[in-house]
Amino acid sequence: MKGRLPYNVGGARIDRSRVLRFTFDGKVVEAHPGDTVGSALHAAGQTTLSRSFKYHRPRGLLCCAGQCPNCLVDVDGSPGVRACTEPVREGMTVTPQNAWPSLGFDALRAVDRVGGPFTPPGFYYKMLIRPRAAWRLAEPMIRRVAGLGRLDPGATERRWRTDYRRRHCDVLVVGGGIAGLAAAVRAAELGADVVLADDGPEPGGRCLAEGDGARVAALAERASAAGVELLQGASALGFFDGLVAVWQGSVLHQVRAARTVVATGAVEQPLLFAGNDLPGVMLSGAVRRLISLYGVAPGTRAVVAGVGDPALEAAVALRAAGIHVAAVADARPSPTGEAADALRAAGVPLLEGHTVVRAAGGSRVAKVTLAAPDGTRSRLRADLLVISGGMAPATSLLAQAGTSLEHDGERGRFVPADLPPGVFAAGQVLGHDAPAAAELSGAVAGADAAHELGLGDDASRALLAEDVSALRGASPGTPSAPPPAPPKGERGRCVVCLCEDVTVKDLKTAVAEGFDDIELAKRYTTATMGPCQGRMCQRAVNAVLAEETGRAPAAVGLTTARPPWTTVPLGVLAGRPYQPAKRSALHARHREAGARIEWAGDWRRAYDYGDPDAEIAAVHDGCGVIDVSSLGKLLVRGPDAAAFLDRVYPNRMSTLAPGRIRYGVLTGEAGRIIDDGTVARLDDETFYVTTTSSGAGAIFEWLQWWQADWRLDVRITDVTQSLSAVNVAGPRARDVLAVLAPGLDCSADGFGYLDARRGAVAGVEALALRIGFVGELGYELHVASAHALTLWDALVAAGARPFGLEPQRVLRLQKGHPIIGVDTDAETTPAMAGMDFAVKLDKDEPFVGRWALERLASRECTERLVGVVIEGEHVPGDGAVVVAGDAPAGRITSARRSARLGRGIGLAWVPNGLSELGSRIEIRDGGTTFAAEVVDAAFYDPDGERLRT
Amino acid sequence: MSFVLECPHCGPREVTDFRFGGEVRPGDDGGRPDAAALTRTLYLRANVDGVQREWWQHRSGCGAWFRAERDTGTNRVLRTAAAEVAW
Amino acid sequence: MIDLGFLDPAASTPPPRSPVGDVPGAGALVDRSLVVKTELQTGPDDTAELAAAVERATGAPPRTGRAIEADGAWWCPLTPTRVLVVGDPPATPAPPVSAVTVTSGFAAFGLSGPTARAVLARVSALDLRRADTGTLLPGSVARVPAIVLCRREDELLILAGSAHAQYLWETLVDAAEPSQVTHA
Repeated sequence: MKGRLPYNVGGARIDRSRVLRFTFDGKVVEAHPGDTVGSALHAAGQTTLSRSFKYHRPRGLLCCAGQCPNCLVDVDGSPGVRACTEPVREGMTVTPQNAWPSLGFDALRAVDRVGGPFTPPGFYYKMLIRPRAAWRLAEPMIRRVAGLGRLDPGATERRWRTDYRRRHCDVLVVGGGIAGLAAAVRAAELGADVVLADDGPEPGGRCLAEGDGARVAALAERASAAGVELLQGASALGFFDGLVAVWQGSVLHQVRAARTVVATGAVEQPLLFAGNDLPGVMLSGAVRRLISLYGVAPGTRAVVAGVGDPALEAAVALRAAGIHVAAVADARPSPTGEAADALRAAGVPLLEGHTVVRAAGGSRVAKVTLAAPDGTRSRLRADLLVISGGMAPATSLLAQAGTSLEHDGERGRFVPADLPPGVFAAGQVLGHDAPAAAELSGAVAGADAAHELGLGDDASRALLAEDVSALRGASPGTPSAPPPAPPKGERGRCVVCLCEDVTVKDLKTAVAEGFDDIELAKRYTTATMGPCQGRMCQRAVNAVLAEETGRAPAAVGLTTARPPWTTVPLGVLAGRPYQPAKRSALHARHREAGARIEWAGDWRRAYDYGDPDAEIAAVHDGCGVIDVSSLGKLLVRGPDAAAFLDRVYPNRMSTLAPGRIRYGVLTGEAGRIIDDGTVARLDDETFYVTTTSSGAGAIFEWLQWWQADWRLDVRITDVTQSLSAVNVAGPRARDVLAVLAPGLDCSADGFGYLDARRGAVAGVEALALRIGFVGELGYELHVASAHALTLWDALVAAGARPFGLEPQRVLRLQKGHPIIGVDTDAETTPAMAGMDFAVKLDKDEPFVGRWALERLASRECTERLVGVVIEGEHVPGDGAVVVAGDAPAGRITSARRSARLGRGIGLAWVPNGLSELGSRIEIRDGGTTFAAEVVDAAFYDPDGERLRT
Repeated sequence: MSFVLECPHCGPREVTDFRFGGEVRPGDDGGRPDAAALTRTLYLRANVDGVQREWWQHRSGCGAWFRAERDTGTNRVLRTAAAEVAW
Repeated sequence: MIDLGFLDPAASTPPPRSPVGDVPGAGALVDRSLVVKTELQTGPDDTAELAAAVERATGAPPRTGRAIEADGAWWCPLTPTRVLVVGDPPATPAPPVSAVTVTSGFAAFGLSGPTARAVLARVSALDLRRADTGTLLPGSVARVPAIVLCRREDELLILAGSAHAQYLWETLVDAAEPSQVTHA
């Protein structure tokens, strides 16, 4: 392979004895195990890997660390994969993105050649919004060329299974470089339960490529020995009030650590100059990694330009690998140190105070222009331009945790200032660039965290003190300079945001147009909004804005840091599909009977059993049975039980005789209906309260709240799930019950309407309540859920026909019974819904909602819930609008066609003027108009004879 | 919003275990409030940016109601106490 | 004291089928939903009486977060006013303490073996690091209200509402999959 270095030079990660093959853009490429797609392609001479987002400029390896967007490719149908970190697998199919017709010749580059003046920030608004017709043509075109990767909707659906894993621990260390490892080792050796998350293929961070491999390997050994749980290939996505989400393959770890140490390092920044995004322009770290880890020659003839030691060290490494270095430009006036001395000794031109101002070339850098401090230009031939604009601490996680940042003017970067409680930082993220200092700061952070948790002893505290003073005295290395400002007057684009193709000029335009705040400039130009999320350009955006607006970088600030820190597949975030479902003990019977099962709140319920009309008829003419197990059921008992209920309900419950039932409406403090149900008195101190299915949980919590406030001598137990309930209804219900409950007096006198009785039904001990939601003679039987099936089977065998929710809806509508939450809303008062009878304002004791209900009583209702009869064969849908004149005046809450009555009926909210019996109203549903008349809502059996028989 | 609340009976749990019950409001004296007082009680809240006393219920666990002091700006919970404990 | 026999499955004939037995193996998920459960509750001013009742039965005063085994039952104090007794029902207590059978109200699943905690960590945020015999953890499991009782080092009993039985069982079976936990 032409781009490979000789056998004994670099290549620590690759196995040169074996060869893998994959295809890129249809051509076969050879690689070694351990290569990444990017390193293999570069070695094969393929230096252009992608085209940029807007201008389709050719792009190649820049960072080789998974930070920048230049190497995004499609791998085996997955778009947006970073070639520089993706390991090569035999037979992979890699294709370029965002290039047409080919990577080598991208016709859309035309936008770059001519588009400039026509594509400033916000161009689609400025250029194409008028005439309107232009936008209708332009938008689809822009959408087609926008975006980087392509998802094939026709591709085979991929099954993704993510595991969640909750991990509690003492200390979480994010980042497995030298600082993170040192922190984990120290904390673990002091006895802490430590988890270390590192996103690389092996721990060690940048030390692996920069000569300190042995040191980090030793630390990793000690970490293992001390019991640190090492998560490799794991990215911390975000910091959420102390909960850190760590993504590792198909597992999402939810780590809740008592203390967190952030050792996320720093991101090397590029420089701003004309042509700075050409393939062949690489960061110093990329050069080190290509040589050390992959044994790839980054180029043949290099020029190096930087602001600190990393660039000089890269120059030294290039020479050691046998690559010619034509010149090294260092922006500092007089760089010192080992690397500088080595270069001078070797006779490499070390140009002090020089900066790079232009890179020129077709699809790869060919000529580099440097500028001396006095402005004189010199041009050099080179196919590799190594740049280094300094290290920007990766502070995103810390910022999410609430850390404030301060600007270090000397080095032109933002570093953490105040750390919030429970959060520690170590290493390059704090600004400790030298490995020795980074390791010390890691040990300090780990010790601090452990000591805060009560671990350690006097000896460990003494050691910590030593480390702290050693850190203070540690040499920071020759400091780097802040990056030079972008040059003026050079031909060629100076790209700031590589992801979105935002140039220095674009940022200046944004400021000129008034978007001078960094958050505004970001949104206007889209700088920092691409795949790298500002890793490569946040600092540069800040610097350009500071220069343009004449403010200090600290005043300009950075944009808000938000999760996720790295691109993460939606499948990982979707995780395990939880869908808690409640099912009654009778669920299997409904399925077996072929019922249509639907969601009713968080319950799975039978909608109907295939023939709703027949089910309704069975209730009217014979005997039907419905599973109402989802009803809320509460036992309220104790010496103060009656008093408690009197204070909770607007009606009087204390006057209820044992064995009797009363309908109750619950109102909140604002006097609006929140739920309804029945109260049955079992004895002096025991009441059995039912609520709506959807209200069950909330009402139990609500009652417990009042209990906590009033502290009455009462006990409340939620038996909603302990008991199953069925409603047996129809003229034959009595006969059916009598057969199954020989010990129960089911006669009209023995078991009257609103009576509560006890007895065995089909051998099952039951509480039987005679109430009438569906308008026919009926009994609600409540039994222990363990015996529900026995009861159901016996009832069905005795001739009761199962009916579902929809038939029940029709039956209760025929009786004009409102369903709370369907026919009423959060503003409905009892008076508006015709439930005044349930409010006893003359009660002596205070009750919930009393004050509001008193005030409401003195006011006229502006609208009422009324019954309506609809003309014609069809009925409007629930929610259809009631109109008066041509304006909306109310709505239909429930409407159905009643076969028994031969008419369409419904409940509706109508304004006061239209609520008199006999009023004619008009209903609009979509395009259809219905005529209706207001009638008494008790459409069927208005005197309740069938109910009370 | 992923902070930890300590239920006085069960110990620390994720906030998703709980139901929020609103600000702790001064109890009424039992007398009939005038319109302004009633409106305040029903609809107006102090909504402080800072330490707030509030009600929580351990819905996924023991079901008990309790009070907490929480800094609404940082979500740091200063303390929690069972309903019967006087503050 | 009203007879609330309609709540008690044992009061009806025939009695429901007995729970499934243990499945030997590296790990097991077993349905124990029919274990008897009784709730003891008292008024807010009578917590001392409830505490005394618990002490008489178990030999120690109740502490929330700790369950005590006594006479074939686990006494689980949830709050100062509520205790859940899982297993053989206690003798009927005297007022002000009242007892209600809630056997049918809870599903109960036994999750045991060396992988039990790892399985639970997939579906719950409960911290089991220091859980040992008697640790009682009411809290969310698979997004539903639940109570985890640690009966032995690696034997957990998960209680949840009986309406969630099918959902929770399926979720636990799914969570146990990668760990090779057998289920019955």
